[in-house]
Amino acid sequence: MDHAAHPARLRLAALLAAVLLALPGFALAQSRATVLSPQEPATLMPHFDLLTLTHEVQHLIFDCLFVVGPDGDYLPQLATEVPTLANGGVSEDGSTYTIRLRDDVQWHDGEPLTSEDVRFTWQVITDEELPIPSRAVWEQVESVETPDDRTAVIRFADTNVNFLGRAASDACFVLPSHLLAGADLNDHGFHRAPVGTGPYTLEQWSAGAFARLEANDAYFDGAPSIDEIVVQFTGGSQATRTALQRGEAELALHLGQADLRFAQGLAGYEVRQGPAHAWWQFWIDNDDPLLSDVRVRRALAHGLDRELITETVMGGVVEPQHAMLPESHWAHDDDVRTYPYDVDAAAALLDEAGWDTVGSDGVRTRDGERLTLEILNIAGEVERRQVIQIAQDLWSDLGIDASIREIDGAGFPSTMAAGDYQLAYGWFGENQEPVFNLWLGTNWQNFGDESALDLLRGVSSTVDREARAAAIREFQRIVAEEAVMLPLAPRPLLNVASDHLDGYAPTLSGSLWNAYAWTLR
Amino acid sequence: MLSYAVRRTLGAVPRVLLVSVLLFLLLRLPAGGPADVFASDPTASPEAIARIEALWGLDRPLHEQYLTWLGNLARGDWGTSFSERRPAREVVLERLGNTLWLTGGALAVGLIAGVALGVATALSRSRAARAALQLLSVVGMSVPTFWSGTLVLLYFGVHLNWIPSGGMGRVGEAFSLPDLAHHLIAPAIVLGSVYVAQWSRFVHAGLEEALREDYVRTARAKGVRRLPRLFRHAFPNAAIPLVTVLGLELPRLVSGAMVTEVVFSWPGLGRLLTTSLLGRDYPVVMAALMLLVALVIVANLLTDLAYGLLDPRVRYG
Repeated sequence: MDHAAHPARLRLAALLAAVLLALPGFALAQSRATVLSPQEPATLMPHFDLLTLTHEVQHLIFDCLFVVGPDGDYLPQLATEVPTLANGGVSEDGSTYTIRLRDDVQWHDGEPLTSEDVRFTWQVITDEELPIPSRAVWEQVESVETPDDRTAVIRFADTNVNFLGRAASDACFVLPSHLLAGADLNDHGFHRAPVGTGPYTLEQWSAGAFARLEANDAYFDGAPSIDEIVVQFTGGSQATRTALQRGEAELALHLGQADLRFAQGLAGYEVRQGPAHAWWQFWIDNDDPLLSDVRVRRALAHGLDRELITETVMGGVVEPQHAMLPESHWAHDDDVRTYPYDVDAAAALLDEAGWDTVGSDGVRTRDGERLTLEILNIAGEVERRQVIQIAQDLWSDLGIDASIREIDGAGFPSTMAAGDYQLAYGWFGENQEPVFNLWLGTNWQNFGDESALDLLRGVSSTVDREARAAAIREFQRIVAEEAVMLPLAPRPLLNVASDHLDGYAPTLSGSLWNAYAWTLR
Repeated sequence: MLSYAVRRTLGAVPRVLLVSVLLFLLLRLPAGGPADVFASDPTASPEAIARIEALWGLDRPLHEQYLTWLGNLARGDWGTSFSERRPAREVVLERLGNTLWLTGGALAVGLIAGVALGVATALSRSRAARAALQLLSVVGMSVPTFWSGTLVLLYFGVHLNWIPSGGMGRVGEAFSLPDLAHHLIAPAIVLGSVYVAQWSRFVHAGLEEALREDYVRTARAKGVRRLPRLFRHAFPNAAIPLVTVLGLELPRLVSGAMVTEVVFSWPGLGRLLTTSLLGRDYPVVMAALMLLVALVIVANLLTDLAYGLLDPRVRYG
């Protein structure tokens, strides 16, 4: 006799369960995942903040037209498919994108998603009266047509290959027009109480402490299996370490290099590198009287022991980088001129440049002028300082007197833009579809080879990806040949994930883009 | 006393204005501005940065920016946070309460332990006790809170699991005093311990001196018992220097809380000020700093008023 299937017993069990659930204070245990974030979003209204960690939280609340999947390919999210030439979603000249939206998506207030929301999002991003810091690609859109509720037609004046990259990046979140149209978004309550279509709804935001989000049971991809996600804003490395040591978190985002060894030794956790097209580099002011000499720039490149830095300060998790774009990027070029660590080659180059006399203090001179350089840095991060100190020592071996000037992060861009530097250490990132603001926009390195820059200018209007890659690779070869800047190593995002978190799959879209699919063991 | 308080407050207005001008200028001295925090992003163009600066009025002459800020402040408008896009007053006041909990807790720890230790060593004839107090003072004042806080977190938080890893309360649960106390106790002790050593020295020295005074000897001759003699006769006089120090230390206590807030992830004014300064969120920084200026003025005023309560000979003209 099958006892488990006995109807009387089943009825009794069901009755008991019903009574228990009806008792006050009795509820089924809620599953919760805690995510540690070193920084807190300033606002959760999409497009007003460029902080990567803000985008991470926004991925829980909002959705994008497309996202970047684990293989680096675009995946549809609010769209039914990724528009291509083959499926007719992209016009032959690459100037028009037709996007079909899913018909089962609802905003958290129950209203359906429509193509008008896509048009409204474009209008917000390009609104001159709003402090939106990045309008790249969207500002080149001529019109967004909405022939029906499920179709948005995005038209550019000319070929534009960057649209998919932008629509799958940090500028991807779609806004609800039915809630925001006509309102002044400068100081709208939506900044603190956002309504999205995403897998979680924001239930509580305790400033400086945490954001608590509950599963959206009506999510179009099915209700998330984890009932609640808490994003804790730790504010620093020590609090993150303590929480991890106590096993209080399922995921810790963006650990510093200094935390790497600590994290590698944590039981029950694994260090996971989130992909990012970002890299550490030394900027060079190519207009500087001393550094405008390519021989001096090449000497600096030869005098920099990249292996030493990646093995020590960077904990051996990255390899030295020689090309402008990191190896993770599809347009990376393996075939650029490299500058292996070679003191003799560096010394010969400096001799050739006229810096051939060494003074009693060990510093080279030319016509009585000492070979001195200043390295600009953003103060506050131990690892940055360590890298610069190693470079300082290595270049000192060549007879270069290098000093360090530290300023705060907010002052860095304007100091660079003003050309008030010789060398500067920092990181930079590019999109999946690069927009090359580093060269065509800010150009802090004062690179003036117009024929080389023309290679980049043509990229956004070249539909064929291989042709784009060829132009970008050619540009990288020029940059390396002329030692216009000194790439050092990729800058991956270091996250720590608990062993009992399943489904965690960081991509270029971030770490939380697929939180709806996470499960806890 | 009331008219004295009003006169003192009005007298502080020119000083507050001067401080506000200095702060306004100092904030703008370093290179860069609020919109520049976006400039490192590969997609933020220089034109977009310039447009944002214009929207926020940062392209106008400095004196115009200051007068606009002052005029708005006079009307009760503290400005809108550049980053959070909500009133700076709301941003700051929401954190002030948290910092006051922490400083209040630290003040309580400092006062209770400081007074108890000072009284105990003043009454003790043991040279070892005095030497121990001196040693404690040196250690207490020398150990930075970021170090002691980290040690406390590691030992009591990670090793013994007695205290939470940070924050002000359990996530997702309604506010309750026991929960707050559980989260507050470690940071309050760490922050308060700096002052225990210092304040116990003041109480110790003041009491020792007062106990040698004629009026105490007279009270003893009249048969007043030891404890009433100590607390009714000697302590009020011994406490006057402590009150002076408290008045001066209160603003320092609030600023000292900033480091402790970072170590214990306490969502207070200190952490807000740090992020706002790094992000050049001028309206929030000005609001927070002006609030601290007000706190200094109020603390000084309360100190002066407290003299009258402790010493009847003090009169307010």
